[in-house]
Amino acid sequence: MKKILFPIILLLAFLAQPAFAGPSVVVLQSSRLLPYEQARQGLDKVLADHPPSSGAKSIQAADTSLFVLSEETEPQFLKSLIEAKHPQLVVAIGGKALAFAASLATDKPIVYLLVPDAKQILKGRRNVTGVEMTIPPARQLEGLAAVLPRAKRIGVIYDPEKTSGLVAEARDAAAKLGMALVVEKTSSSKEVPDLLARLRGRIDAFWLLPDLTVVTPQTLEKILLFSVMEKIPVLSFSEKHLEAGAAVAVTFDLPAMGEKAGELAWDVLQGGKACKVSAVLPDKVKIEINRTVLQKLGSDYRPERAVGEARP
Amino acid sequence: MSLFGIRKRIRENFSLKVYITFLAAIIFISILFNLLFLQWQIKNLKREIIEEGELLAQVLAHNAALGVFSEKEEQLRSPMEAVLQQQDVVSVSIYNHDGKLLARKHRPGSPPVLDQSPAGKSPADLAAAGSYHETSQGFVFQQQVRVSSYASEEDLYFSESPAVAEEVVGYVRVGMSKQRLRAGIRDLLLRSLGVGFLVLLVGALVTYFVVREVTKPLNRLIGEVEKQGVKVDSTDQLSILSGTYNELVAQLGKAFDTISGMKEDLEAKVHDRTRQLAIANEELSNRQAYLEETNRKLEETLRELKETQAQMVHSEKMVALGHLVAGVAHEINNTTNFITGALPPLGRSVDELKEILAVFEKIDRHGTKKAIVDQLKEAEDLKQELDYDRLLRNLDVLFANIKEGARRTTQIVNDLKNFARPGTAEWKSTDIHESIDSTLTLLYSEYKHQIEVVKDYDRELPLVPCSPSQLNQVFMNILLNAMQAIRGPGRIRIQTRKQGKDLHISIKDSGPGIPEAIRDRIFEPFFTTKPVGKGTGLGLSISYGIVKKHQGEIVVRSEPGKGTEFEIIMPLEGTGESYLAN
Ligand SMILES: Nc1ncnc2c1ncn2[C@@H]1O[C@H](COP(=O)(O)OP(=O)(O)O)[C@@H](O)[C@H]1O
Ligand SMILES: [Mg+2]
Repeated sequence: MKKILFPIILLLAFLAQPAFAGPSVVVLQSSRLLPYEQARQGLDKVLADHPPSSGAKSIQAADTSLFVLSEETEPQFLKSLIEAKHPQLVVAIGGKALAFAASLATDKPIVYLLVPDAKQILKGRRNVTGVEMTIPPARQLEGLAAVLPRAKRIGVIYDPEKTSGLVAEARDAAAKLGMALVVEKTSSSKEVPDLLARLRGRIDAFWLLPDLTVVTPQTLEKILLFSVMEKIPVLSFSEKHLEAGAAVAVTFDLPAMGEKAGELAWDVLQGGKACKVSAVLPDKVKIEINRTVLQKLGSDYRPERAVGEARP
Repeated sequence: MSLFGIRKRIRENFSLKVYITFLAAIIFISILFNLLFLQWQIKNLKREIIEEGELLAQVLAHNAALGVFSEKEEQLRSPMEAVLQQQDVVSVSIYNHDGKLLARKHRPGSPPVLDQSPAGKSPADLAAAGSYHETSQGFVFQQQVRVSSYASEEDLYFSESPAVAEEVVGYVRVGMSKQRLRAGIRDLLLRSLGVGFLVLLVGALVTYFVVREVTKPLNRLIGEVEKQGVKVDSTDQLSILSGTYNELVAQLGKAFDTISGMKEDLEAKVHDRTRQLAIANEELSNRQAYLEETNRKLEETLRELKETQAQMVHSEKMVALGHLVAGVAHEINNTTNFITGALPPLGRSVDELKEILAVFEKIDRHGTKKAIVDQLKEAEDLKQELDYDRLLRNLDVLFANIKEGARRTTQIVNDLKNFARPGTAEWKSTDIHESIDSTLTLLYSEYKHQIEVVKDYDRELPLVPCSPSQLNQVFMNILLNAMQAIRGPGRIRIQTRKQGKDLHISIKDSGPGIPEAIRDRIFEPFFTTKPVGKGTGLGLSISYGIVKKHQGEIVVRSEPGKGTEFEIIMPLEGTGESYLAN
C-alpha cells in the first residue's frame, strides 16, 4: 500500500506546485506546544509578506508548507515527502525539528529557532543559521535591576561543564550594573540543597540559570522553598517558573523571535548560502513578574517595569 | 406450665409454629446480613488506612528525594517528622539504594514495631513486591525514592510535563499501627449489634401481626370442621388439617387416575371412531361417485326422453294435421264445387247470349226500315225462343254460386291461418270465440253429418291474453276427442263464461263418458284407448301442459253413458310469464 501511495503523493506534490509561485519553504515544527506556535505566527507573518529589501529576484510571497513532527508517524515517509517538494529553504522550530531537518538528504539552507543547543545537534552541518536561544546575561540582569533595584548580591549555582561561558559573561555584566555575583559550583544536583544553605545570608536574589545539572524537578522545589524561607526572590529564564514561585522571569518575546527568523529566511533566500548570514540573538525580551510572590517576600519592587504578570 | 408442656404446645399449635419459624428466619437473615455488612465495612476501613499509608509513603519519598540522593541525615529529618506526626504512624525509616539504613524514627511512647524487614528481604525486594505488607501489629508501607532530571535544555524552557530521566536513589518505609483499625472494628461491631437487636424487635412484632392475620382463615376452617361435628382438640389443629388434607390429596390422585384412565379409553374410542369415520367417508365418496354416475345416466335418459317426447309431440301434431288436411281438403273441394258446378251452365248461358247478340249484330243500320224491322223481329223471336229472362236469371244464380264458393274458400284459408299462425310462441290478446270457430271450421268434415254443435258464447267476453296457436291446439284436441267419442249422432255444446277474474270454457259431449277406472290416467302421456294410428295418447297431456302454462287448469266431469265435460279455467288477465319463461 505504502509503495503505491508514495508515488501518488509525490506526483500530487509536483502538481500542487503553482507555476509562478514564490520560493518554496518547508517549516518543520517539533510539536504544537504554545511557544512553538507563537514563534511560528511571527515567522509566517514575515514569510507571507514580500521580501523586505528591494531588488529581489522574486517578489512573490513564500510558498510555505508546515509539518509538525509530533503529528507524523512515518519519519521516513515524511522525509521523502519533503525532499520531493524540493524546498529552497527549511525552517526548523525546536530541537527535534532541527535534528530532523539536518538528517534530510539535501544541502539546502536551514534556518532554526527555539533551539538552545543548536551546535550539539548540528555536528558541523553547513549552510545553517538561526535565531539563538540565549538571552544575553546583561539583558537578564538589566531586567532584574529594573524590577528589583535593591538587589545587588546575586546568587548563582552552576555546573562549570554546562554554563561556565554564561557565568563569565554574567560577571562582566553584573560589574557594569553595580552588582556582584555570589557563585557556587557543582557537578551534581544532589549538592544543590547544601549549596543553597551556604548561600543563606549572602545574597539579595537568586538567579536560576538554564543549567541541566542544577535544574531538576527536585532542586527546583528546593530552590523555590529556599526562596520562601529566606525571603530571597528568584530570577528565572522561563515564565513557567513564575507560577511555581519564582519572582521575576526575563524571557523571549516569541513572536518577535519568529519574525527575526523570517527575516533571516528572506536574507538566505535572496543571498544564497546561509553561512554568510550569521546566527542572530533575539533583540526583544519580556520581563514578567509574580506580584503575589514579590509581595510575600516583602521585596521593594517596581512592577511598572514588567511587561507581563503570571496569574497567581 | 412445665417446660415440657410448653414444648408440646409449640409442637401442636400451628400459629405458634409459624411464628417461631419466621422469627428464626429473621434472626438468621439479620445475622447473615450483619456479618456481610461488617466484613464489607472492615474491608473499606482497612482500604482507607492502606491508601492513607501509601500516600504518606509517597509524600515522604517525594520530600526526602534530594536528602536521600545526597545521603544527608539532617535533610531527612524534617520530612520524616512531618510523616511521623500523622495518626497511627509509629515508625519511619529511610534506606539508600543499596539498602543501607540512612535514618529511622519512632513515635515516642509507642512500641518500636514494624521497622524490621521480614527475614532475608532487602527493602528493594519489598518495594518491588508491593507497596505494603501487613503484620500482626500493623502495616508497613514501602516506596521507592526517585530523583529526575530534564532530558534537554529545551525542556528547561518549554515542556510542561518534562521528559525526565528518572533514577531510583533509595527507599522509604512507613510503619502504621492497627490501633485505628481495631477501634473502628469495635465501633462497627457495637453498632451492628444495636441495629441487629432493633431489626429483631421490629421483625418480631411485624411477624406476630402478620401471622395472626394469616392464620385467621385457618382458624375459620377449623371452626367449620368443628361445626361438622368433628372434635378438634385445640392443641392438635394441624394434625386434623393435615389428615383432611392428605385425604383430599389421595382423592385428587384417584380422580387423576380416573381421568387418565378415561383419557386412555377416550383416545382408543377416538381412534376407533376416526377409523370408522374414514371408512364411512370412503363409502360416502363411493356412493357419491355412484350417485354421480347415476345422475349422469339419468341426465342421459332425460335427454333421450326429451328427444323422444319431441318426436312424439311431432307425431301428435302430424295426426292432428292429418285430420286437418282431410277436413281442409274436403271443405275446399266442397267450395270449389260451387264454382266448378256453376261453370258448365254458365258456359251454355253465355253461348245462348252470344247467339242473340249475333242476330242483333247482323242488323244493317243503313238498310231499309223494313229490313231492319224484319231483322229485329227475327231477333225477338230468338229471344223468345231461348227464354231470355230465364237466361238472365240463371246468370245471376250462377254468379252468386261462384261468389259463395270463392267466399267459402277464402274463409277456410283464413281459418287455417288462424289455426296455425306463424310464430307459435306469440302472446297476444285474442278473441277466444274466433279461435274456437276456426278450429270448428277445420274439423267440419269430422262432425258435419251426425253431430250438432251448439255454441253458447258469452258475448261480453273480453279479449283474453294468451298464445292463440297453443290454445287452438287445446281446443282442437278436446273437440276431436269429443267427436271421436261420439259414435253415431250426437251433440257437442260449447259454453264460454266469465266468472270473477277467470275464463271458463266448457266443452261437453254426449258421448259414452270415461270409465271410472281410467279417469285418473287420461292425462298421462301415451295413455290411449284408441287403436294404433288413430291415437297417440299425448293429446290431453300436451293440452294440460299448455293450460298450465296459461296458469289455468283442466277439470274433467264424466258420467259413463251420458257424456263428458272438459272445462278449461284460466285467468282473464294472464301475464304469460310462466309461458314465456319456457
Ligand atoms: N270426450 C271423451 N269421451 C270419452 N273418452 C275420452 C274423451 N276424451 C278423451 N277420452 C279418453 O282419453 C284418452 C286419451 O285421450 P288423448 O290424450 O287425447 O289421446 P288419444 O285421443 O290419442 O287417445 C282417449 O284414448 C280416450 O279413451
Ligand atoms: Mg286425443
